[in-house]
Parts: sequence; structure tokens; C-alpha cells
Amino acid sequence: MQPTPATVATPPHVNGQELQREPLVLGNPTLHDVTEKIAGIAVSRPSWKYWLTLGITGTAAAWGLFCIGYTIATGIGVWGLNNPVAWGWDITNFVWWIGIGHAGTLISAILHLFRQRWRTAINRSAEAMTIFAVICAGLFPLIHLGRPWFAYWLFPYPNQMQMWINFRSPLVWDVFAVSTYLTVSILFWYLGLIPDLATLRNYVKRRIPKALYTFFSLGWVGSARHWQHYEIAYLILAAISTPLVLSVHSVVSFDFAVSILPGWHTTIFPPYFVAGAIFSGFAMVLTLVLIMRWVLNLENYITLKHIDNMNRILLATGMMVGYAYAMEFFIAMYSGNEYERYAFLNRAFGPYGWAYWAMVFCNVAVPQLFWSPRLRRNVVVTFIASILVNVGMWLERFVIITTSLHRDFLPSSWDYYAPTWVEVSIYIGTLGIFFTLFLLFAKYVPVIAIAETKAILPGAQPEHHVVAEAAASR
Amino acid sequence: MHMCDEGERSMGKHKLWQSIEEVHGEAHEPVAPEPLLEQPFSRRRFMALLSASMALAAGSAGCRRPDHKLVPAVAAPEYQIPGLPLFYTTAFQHKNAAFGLLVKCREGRPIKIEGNDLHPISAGASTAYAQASLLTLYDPDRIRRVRMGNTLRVPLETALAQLAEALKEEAAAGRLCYLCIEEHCSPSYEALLKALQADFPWLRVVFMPSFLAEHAAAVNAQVLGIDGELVPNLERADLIVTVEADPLGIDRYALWHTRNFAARRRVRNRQEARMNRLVAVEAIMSLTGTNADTRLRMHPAAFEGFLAATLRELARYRSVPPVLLGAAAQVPAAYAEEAARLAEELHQAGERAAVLVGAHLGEPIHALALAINLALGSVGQGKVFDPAYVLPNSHRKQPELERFREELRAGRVGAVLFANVNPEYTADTELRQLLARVGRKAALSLYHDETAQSCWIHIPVAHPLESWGDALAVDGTLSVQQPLLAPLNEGIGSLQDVLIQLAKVLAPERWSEVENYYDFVRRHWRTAYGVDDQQWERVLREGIYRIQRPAPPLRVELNALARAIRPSGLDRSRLLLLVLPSYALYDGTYANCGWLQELPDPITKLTWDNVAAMSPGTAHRLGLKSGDLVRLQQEDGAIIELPVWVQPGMADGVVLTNLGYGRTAGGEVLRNVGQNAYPLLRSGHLGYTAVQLTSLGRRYPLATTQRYHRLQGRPIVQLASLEEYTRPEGPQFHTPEFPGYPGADGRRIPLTIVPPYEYKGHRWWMVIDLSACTGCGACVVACQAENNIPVVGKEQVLRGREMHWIRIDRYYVGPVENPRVVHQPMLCQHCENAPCENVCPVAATTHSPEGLNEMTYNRCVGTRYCLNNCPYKVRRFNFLNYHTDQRPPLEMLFNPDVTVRMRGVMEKCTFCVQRINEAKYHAKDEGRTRVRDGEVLTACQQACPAGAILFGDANDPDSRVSQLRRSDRAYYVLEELNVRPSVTYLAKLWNAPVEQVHQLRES
Repeated sequence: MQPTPATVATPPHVNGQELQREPLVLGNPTLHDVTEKIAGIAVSRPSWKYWLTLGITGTAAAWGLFCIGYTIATGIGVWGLNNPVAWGWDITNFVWWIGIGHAGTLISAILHLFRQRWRTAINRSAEAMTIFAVICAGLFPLIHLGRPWFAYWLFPYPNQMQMWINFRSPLVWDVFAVSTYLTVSILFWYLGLIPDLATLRNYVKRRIPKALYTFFSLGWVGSARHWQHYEIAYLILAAISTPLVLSVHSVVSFDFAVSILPGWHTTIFPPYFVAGAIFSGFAMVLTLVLIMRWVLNLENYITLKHIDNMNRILLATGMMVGYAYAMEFFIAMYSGNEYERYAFLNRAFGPYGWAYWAMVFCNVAVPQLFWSPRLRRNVVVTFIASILVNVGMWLERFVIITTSLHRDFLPSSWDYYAPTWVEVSIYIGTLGIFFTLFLLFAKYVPVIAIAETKAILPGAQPEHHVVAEAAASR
Repeated sequence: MHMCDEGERSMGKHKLWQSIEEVHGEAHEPVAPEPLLEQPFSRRRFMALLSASMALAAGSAGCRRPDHKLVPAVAAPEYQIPGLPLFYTTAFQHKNAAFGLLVKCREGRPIKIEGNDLHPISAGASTAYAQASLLTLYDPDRIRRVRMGNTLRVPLETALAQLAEALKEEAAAGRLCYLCIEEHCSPSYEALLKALQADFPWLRVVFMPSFLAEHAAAVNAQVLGIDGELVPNLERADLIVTVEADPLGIDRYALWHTRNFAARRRVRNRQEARMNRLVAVEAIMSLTGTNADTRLRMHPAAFEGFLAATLRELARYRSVPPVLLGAAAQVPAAYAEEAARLAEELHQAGERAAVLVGAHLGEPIHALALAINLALGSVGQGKVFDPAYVLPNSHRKQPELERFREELRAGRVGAVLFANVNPEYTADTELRQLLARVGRKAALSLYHDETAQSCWIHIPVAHPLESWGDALAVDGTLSVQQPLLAPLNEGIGSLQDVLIQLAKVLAPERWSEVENYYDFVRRHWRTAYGVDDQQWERVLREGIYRIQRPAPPLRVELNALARAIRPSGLDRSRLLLLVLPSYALYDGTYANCGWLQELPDPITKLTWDNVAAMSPGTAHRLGLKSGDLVRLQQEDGAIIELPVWVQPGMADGVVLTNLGYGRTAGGEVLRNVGQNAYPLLRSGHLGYTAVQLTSLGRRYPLATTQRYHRLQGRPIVQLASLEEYTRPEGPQFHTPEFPGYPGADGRRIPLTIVPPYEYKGHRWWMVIDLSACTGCGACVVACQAENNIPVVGKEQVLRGREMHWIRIDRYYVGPVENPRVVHQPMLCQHCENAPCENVCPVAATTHSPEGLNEMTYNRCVGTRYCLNNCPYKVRRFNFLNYHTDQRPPLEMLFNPDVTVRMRGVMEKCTFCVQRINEAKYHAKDEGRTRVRDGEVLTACQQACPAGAILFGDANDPDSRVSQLRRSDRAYYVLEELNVRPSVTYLAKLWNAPVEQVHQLRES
């Protein structure tokens, strides 16, 4: 079949008018405007709002760290865990944070490979968010141990005990998956930062910041040779990261799927968890980006188009998650396995039914709003929805972990689990750590990839004539 | 370097070294010690010294051997080999019941109590109380020094001198001295008390039991001329009918009854399936009721009508004296249909049937039961009710107590000595007020309890495991109580020793020849039983000595019996309260024992509390839920505030609570545990009383170890009626179908690419017979004692963190108002495909080549994934450091063969691996390659009075477990998960009609 040249060359038309591709950056900034806007954040004095927020998040972080210390000093007994429910908020938070850490790599790596250029406005903050989320996530497997001072025993290393780790345990896979993910995420983020750090190096005047930016920009001068190496390295890292997006959460889901517990032992978990992770990750990116956009006045760089695009992903992944919920029930009923059936009936109608239905509302019902283009571009609705999705995804992990554990095979050991103030405090503490790190990041590191944004400015790329005209008119 | 050179040279000359010493000798010779600091100081030397001193400082100092040779003792202590246990026989007295014990001692301290297998009552088994007496021995709350008022640390001699002086004064003033003793069955103690009374005419001895239940003794005295209780021999009974009797539970001889009862329940196979039959008639839910083949829920007011109807129906088949029938006719019949059925059954069983009545029930009910038993012919020499089996010291004590009260009222009592009794806790207000008027009171007991606090002198006496003594069991077996270690209370001897010392002070001329109580016991045995030194040693070794007790000829006063049969007129319209001793703490004697406080009640599974148990119907009518606080008030104003417990299976209109709780003094453990129910006893008698209930509108947290009670239709417990089982086609017990092939042990092996592991040596296996298990809980405490399992306290049990390695799951089957109960011991199943093993990231739990699922505590990091993945939820996590608060001398209790676990570590049943290893060492010493069948007993198996647990080598085709696991009753819990457990359960059989069991199974 020979495609006619007309259909390839002619842009889509509606009512005789050519459809315009929406620009990714508004306000027609010059290259210098972009540098001024974004690099300027690093030299400007932070407002009182910034200090107040940092104070709150820092206090939360400190309180959480104190509670972690209390737990380690006293024992896991200060939490509400009991005999059937040996994992509670600890692993719920772990999986939730890991899930949040998913969007970063997806946006940076997969969207990069697919040449989705709208990603440039949000990829930097999404990647930073990934790293901070994974740090928060990694905290939980560590502190949830009965004897955390022996956590290093989970790593394979030659030792005088001649003991090797048990490679059959999904927890060991977790150690590798999460540490690999963290390493690659940091590398990827840092590599992307190098040209921007060089811009900052050139931009800042004060000595110490300049010295630090100089050190971390690794002698970047922006030569063609540098750019060539950089692009290739970035592409390679993107290719390496892409399978990680799928593998990390698949491996995390193995923690449950490999067990024999009804409600955990299902083959649907890896794709279900990955979809859920992307879902929650995008929700968290939205939450952060909307705040950032408002606080730092980045409306021209993070446009409604970005928000629209992300809401579409929320809608899609939300429905995947909804499908998984339905399919879980169907499999349980269809299997004829009485334990499995009971686990799911108990999930929906047992003592934790409130959590289940709240989860269904947040994760399945709320994203349906985004069928409406108007709501997709409504910042307030998006912000509320993104928070609800975060809540819903937390509840999803809680429901999976707790309802399966609290009533398993022998009714004699069934029990109920509720967290203590210590567990709640530690969770709040990790939120504090996360936002504190993010605030520091927003202040000292370019929150938007300057170099990449310059490349997508109107007229920066060879494009269709209409855009070129617009550039000319400027 | 030097050594290497030497070695190489000698190798070259083919002169091989002969011993390590030779090599070392050559090596060490030329090295001359040089002073450390006299050399010029170089950088290298400085570094060497620095690092060496760092290394020394870093803690190697403690690991160095002493410079001089240590010489082990040539004359080692007799018998004692460090590291090996020694076993001593002794006797355990639970009030006036007794059985033989075998106490395991390590390095001179008792660490575990077992039943003496030569003793006919225990036959190797033991009870929770006996196990727990070890914890009492090391109880840090035991008082150690004599106390006079607020003066502590009084020398015993001073106290005794002052006491003697006071007693002499009182005697001179013409007043009496009372010695209040608890119920006992020690002939030597009795002889000592007689001797004391003979020497001191002003001394009176009175039994002061915590509670009275003497209607049986009263009826027996009037009718049979036996002032005491007859202990039935259930081995001889084919049909047992209990009317709120609890022979398998609260009965003092529950150990013996359970053994005899269960021996007739362990059906070997279809062909020789014969069982006894237990019919329980009750208003409460007793342990016996839960084990009944047929259970009849009945209001207590109907008991006498039911028994009267049964007696009248029985007259259709057998001759019943008309005078009895006439008396029975006065009692309005109840449950006539059931009575007719029962009468027929009783008649068929004849003299091998017996009707047992709860001690708390009134005389008419006891009389009716005796009439039925006489009609059946089950009373007499060699029958179920053998006149030779009179419970020692079970005579009516109320008359003596009444006299004591009279003397007190009259002010004729100058001094009272309390010997291990606690009337300040147990007695009614009147007696307490009377006692308060007595000036000279002395307590001789283990704890500074309520009574001791009210006394002028408190002398701490030694624990039974520290004292000499003897005990007479109901079957006529005598045993000696041997001390296992010197008294921990600053060397003060036993109660009897103290009494002898007091007598020596009072009358040195007559008591100087008696050295101590040991001497007294020896003399008594010599004079009473003719036991010489040689025989004595044998008695100590074996722990038993049989004496012949002539049974009195049986004579029956029919008229007296007829007189006793009369309607008692219990008011049906009122709410009735029954107070019974508790399963865990009995009468409160054991209240300071954490093991017993945390031992779940076999029915309610509650720990650390007593409750007001009532039927779901009553609770619904009163609008109450479990945990609601209520106030119970008797007509005379006695009040108790208790949390409600909704207990399925109880009759409507009845409230049950337990004694033993609400202690206020005497230890740290018993403080603030439950409420004291003694004020609700009517002049000390157990029995039903009318109460008024008011809801307080408050809630109270109740710590139960099992919160769900239904099987949910899951094939966890397999049931069948005996009739159905004996059919040639029989019932099929839970055999899940999955694609696979039959394995060597008859179980299917699913299709797999990995061939099953072949166990070549031993293959440890356990068989649990659900038909035999009565759910008594002796195994739970035995396991706790053997394996250093901590007591976690009520707050942790509330959080669901109890640590028991073996638990007894109790499920209700059938309607909630009147369900049947099944007990299922649940412990680590040591699965071949253990789901816990593959999820542990650090390989802390692994499989042994002998089939044990092993837990390596010091490798565990505490991810708790194993617990999540255990389908039986038998793993226990140390959420906190449960052992850190141990006060001395509790650490002496620890079994040195078992690691004490720290916090953050998972633990679980090990199949008593320390015992397996010990047996293997013995086998090796004797040149055997295999352990014999029965050589390893797990702690739970050893304690089990029902013989429901069997342990052994499944690779030995002749072992009992090998045979039993192929039994036609064998099944595996959750076999469908293909975890391949190493515990075979034998299905529970009910000797009840097929329809009944079917109905239950389907419900």
C-alpha cells in the first residue's frame, strides 16, 4: 500500500481550519528568560512561606525519626502488630512509597524513549520525587525488622558465619530490586542535571554555591562533543531504566504473590502492582507539581496541557487498577477455593470493609472525572483528585496486606489490627522527610530541566510552518 | 616462620612428627621473651603495641585462659554430672488429691516437672498446676524472712520463742489455740497434728478449705456410712452421665479421670472400635461438657426432676426399692423424654454405668444419683464407685468450722495459726470479723498474702519442692515428697518443720528426740507401714509404696437415702449465680503464677480475668455484650462487678463466675487481676444463688487468645460418629484431590519437577488424637516450662501476642445457643514443604534432614515474613524483650538446654529438639544408630494425661507413630495446601447417633 503524500504532509484540519499543536511552553520566553526564571530560584531569597513549610516538614521529619529511634530502642512491640498480622503500616508504607517512586522513571525513561516531549517540564521534579520516595520506602524494610542492627545480613557478603542469604526469598529480591532502582534513578537524575548545574555555575555569583555547582557540573562546557556523549549516555540510561519500571514493582508484588496466603497468592499481582504504582506515582507528581507551579509561578512551563496529559494517564491507570480489583474478585469466586473466596468477601464486607470501599471510591470512581476535558484542565479538581488517589492507593496496600493477614486459614488465630501512635508518627515522619528533601531540592537544584526546556521552546526545533511563523512574528 | 622451617626439614628426612606437643615444643623453644619497652622505639613497634593493646582492651581479656592449671575435683559430687539431668521422685498435692512426680534437676536445681510414670494416678502425665508449682518455687514474690509486724528479718528462733511464749500465756489463761490447715492427704502430717494435739491439750486443729462442697459427703455419710467423697474409677465405666460434674476439668483428680476416660476413646481402627460414652447434663459449659458425646443443656432447677424421672424410668427395667421410687415421685419430673432414653441406656450399661454429680449441687441431686447408681449396681467393691476409693480428708468440715466460729464468738480463742490458708481472702465477712478480734495470729505460708498481712508473726515456710513429706493418693498409693533443693527462704524449713520447732520450744522434753520433719516422716513410715531403711530407699527411687486399705463393707440406709430425695425448690424465675473454682487458678492458691494466669481457660480462652459468663439468650435479653461491666448483687447485699462473657452452650438464666481472682496481696503477678468472688459464696458453700444484675454501662477489655470460634465450613477438624465410622465403607476424612501420585506414606504427592526429599535417618513425626484430647491445657504449660517461653501479661495478650508454642483451638459446632465443642491442639506442623522456610531472606528457618523445621534464633533478623506465610499461624514473634524483667531467682527456672530468646526474634515449636538430641547422644553412647521408639517424649506428649499426643520416628516401620499415621482416622490439617505437615491428626469420634453428628457437621 502506498500512502498518499497528502495525508502525510497535511496537518489535521477541522472546519477548514488547521488544528494547531498546543505549545509546550507558554508566553514565548526567550532562551535567556528560561535561564532567568529557573536558575533565578536558586539565587533568590526564599519567602517566609518557604521557611514555614520547611519548618513544618522538618518538624514532622524529626518527630518521625524520633519515633523510629524509639521503635529500635524498644522493639516492634510498640507498634500494633500481632500474631496473625505481622505486617501492617510498615509494609503498607513501603509499598506505597515505592509505588510513588515509579512515576519518575516512567516519565524520564519511557516517555523519553517514546519522544514525549511534554515530559521535560515535569521530569526533573518527578525524578527527584522518585529518589526521595524510594529513600522513604527503603526506610521501612529496615526499621520493620525485629533486629534492625542486623539488616546487613540481607545482603550477600562473605562472612565468618559462612552464611549465605536465601535466594528463594522474595525479600532478598526486594533488596536487589529496590537498591538497583535507587542507584539507577540517582544516576539518571544526576546525569540529566549536569548541563543545568553548569548553567547554574555560570549564573550564581556567590563563592560557595559557585564552587559547589562547579564541582557537581563535572566541567561541563556545552561543547558539541559533550552534548553528543551526554545524549548517548542519557539514552542508554533511559533504556536501562525502562525495564526497571516494570521489574521493581513486580518484584515488590512478589513479596505477596509468592506467599501462600489467600488474597496474596495471585498471578495478577505484578501487572496490577505496576499499574497501581504508575497510578499513584502520577498522582503524587501532580500533587507536587501543582504546588510547585503555584508557589514558583511556573504556569508558563507547567501548562494545563501537562496537567491534561497526566490526568489522562491517571484515568487510564485508574481503570487498569479497577479492572484488577474486579478480576481479583472474579478469580477468587471462579477458583472455587473456599479460602480465597472468603478472603475477598472478607475484604469487601469484613471488618476492614470501610477501607476497601474507600479505596474503590478513590481509585476507581474519582479518576472517572477525567473523562471530561474541562475537569482534566481544572487545577483545583486535579489537585483534590490527586490527593484522593494517593489516599486510595495507600488504602489499597493496607487492604491487601491487612485483610489477607488478619483472617487466613485457621479461624482460631483470626484477629484485628490497628496501628499505634508510633506507627502513625513514623508514617507522618516519612512524609516530612519526603517534603523536606523536596523543598531543599526545589531551592537548590533546577526544578525544570533548563536545557531540555530550551529545546522545546516554540521555534527551537524544525517544525511545521505555522509555528515558524509564530516565531518570526516574535 | 621458624615452625615452618622445622616442619619442612623434618618432612624432608621422613621423620614425621608424632604429636601436637612435639611440634609445639620445637616451635616454642627458641623464642626468648624480650622486655616490651626497653628496645628503641620505632614507628612499627609503636603500631604493634598500640594494636595489641587495642585488641586486648576490646574484650579479649575475658576469653583468656588462666595462667595456672585448673584441677577438676577428684571427688565430684555424688550422682551429679554437669550437663546431665538427674530425676528425683516426689509427690504433688493438689489440696487433698495427690500424684507422683518426677522432677528433672540440672546442676542441683529443678527445672522441669513430669508425672511419675510408676505412679498409678499420673502414669507419667501431669497437670498444669503441677507444672506451675515449679514457677511458684522460684517465685521472686515468695517471702524469704520472718516478719513480725513491721519488723523484717527477725531470726526464726526469736519469732518462735515469742510465739511459744504467747501460746503458753494464752493456754495459761484458759484460752484455746487454733491451727487452721488446708486440705491435704499426707498421713505423716496428720500424724504430726495428732501428736501435737495429744501433747498440747489447748491446741485445736481445724480444716479451713477455701470453699465447701460437702453434699456428697453428707449423703454418703447418711446412706453408706462413709463420711467422704467416693472418687469414681472411670476406667470401669462404659457410660458416664455427669450432672454438672466436671471430672475432666475442675475435679481434683481430673488427671486420673482424664487418663481413664481418654484410654477408652483412643480407637485403634474400624474393626475394634469400642468407646465409652459420656452424657453431660449441665447448665454451665464445663470442660467435661465440651467432651461429652451427648450434651443436654438444662436449667439447674430441672436437674432433680430429670434425675427423678430417670430413676422412675429405670424402674421399668430394674428393681428399684419402692421407698426410693416413692421419694422420687415427690419431685416433679422434667425432661421426661430424655430421661426415658437415658434410663434405657443406663440399664443396658448396668454396673458399668455411673451418674456423677457436681460437688456444688445440693443433697437431693446427690441422693438421686446415688439411688440410680445403686440401682445400676455401680457402687461396690471393684465397681465404678468403689468404697475403697474415698478421697482422703473429704469428710464434712463444716461442723468443725462451726465449732471454731462458736469458740471465736465466745472469745475462747487466744491464738490462731494459719498454716498455708488465706481466710482474709476466702472467708466470709463474719469469720473475718471474728478473726480480727483474735490478738495473737501467726501465718505460716509462702507469700505475704492477705492473711499474713493481718498477722503478728509471719513465718515463710518452704515450698513443697523444698520439703519432706508424704502423700496418699485415692487408690491407696503412698508416695514420699522429697525436697529437690535447700529452701530458698533463708533455710527455714517446711510448715511441718516449723511446727516441730515450735513444739520443741514449747515442750523440749517430749519433742527433743524428733530431729525434724524428715525424722518424723521416717518414724511414721517405720511404725505405720513397717518401711525399713532399705525399703525407704526403694520408695524414694520409685516414688510409690502401695498399702492395703481394707474397704468397709457396703451397707445402704435406704430410708436415709429416701429422706434425702426431696425437691429443693430452686427459683427458676430468678437469675441464678454459680461460683466455681477456675480452671487456671483453682481457688486462688496459684494466683501468683504467671503461667497459669496466662493459660487460656479451656472454654472461654480468656486469660488474666474472671468473668460473668452467661448464655447468648440471657445476654440478649439483658442487652449485654461480652466486655460490658455488670454488677451482681445477692439478696444479702454481697456485690461483685464483673465483665460479661457471652458463653454459648450455657442454660438461660444462669451466670457463672470463678474463684481465684481478685487477690490483693501476696505478689506482683496477682495484683489487679479479676474480682474476688468469695463474698458470693453462702457460708463458704459452692452452689446456685439468686442474684440481681445491673449493667454499669462501662466496658472492660478482656484478653482472650481466640476471637473466632467457628470452623467456617473448613475441613480443619474432622468429625464422625462412632457408628458411622465402624461401617465397613466408613467416612472418608479430608483427602483433597489434586493431580499427582500416591507417596510412600499414603499421601498424594502433586505433580512436581522436584522429587520429594528422601529422609534416610530418623523422620520425626507426631500424631494427635482428637478423640482423646479433652482440651485441659496441661501440654501448654508443660511446653512453656520446657522451652523457656515467657509470660507476656494481659496487655500483650490483648494485643494478640501470647507466646505459647502449642495452643488448643476450641471451635463451636452447631447452633450458637447449644453448640458442641471440639478441641484441637495446634503447634508447628513441621511441614516438608514449609512455606515459612523459603520466604526467610536470611535462612534463619530451615529444614533438618530428620524432618524438623528448625529455627536458628541467632540468625533471625525478624522480618516476620515466616509468620505471615505460616498457614497454621503457630509462629510466635518476640515483639518486646519479654525476658528482661525477670527478677531473681526466676532465672534458675530456665531450661539450660533451650536458648532464651531476645526481642525481635521469631520462635516456635521445635518438637523439643533438645530432647531428641539428648536421646540421640544416649543412643550413640550405647552404640546404637537409632533412637528407640518412645525414647523421645516431647514435653506436651509427656504431660498429656489423655495420651492424645504421640511422637516418634516415622521411618521406623514398627514405631507407634508409623502405625497410627496410617490409621483410618488419619488426616492432615490444610493438606490441600501441599505443605506436607509432619503432624497427623486422628479424626474426632463422637459416640453419638449418626444423625446428630451429621446435623452438626452440616450446620
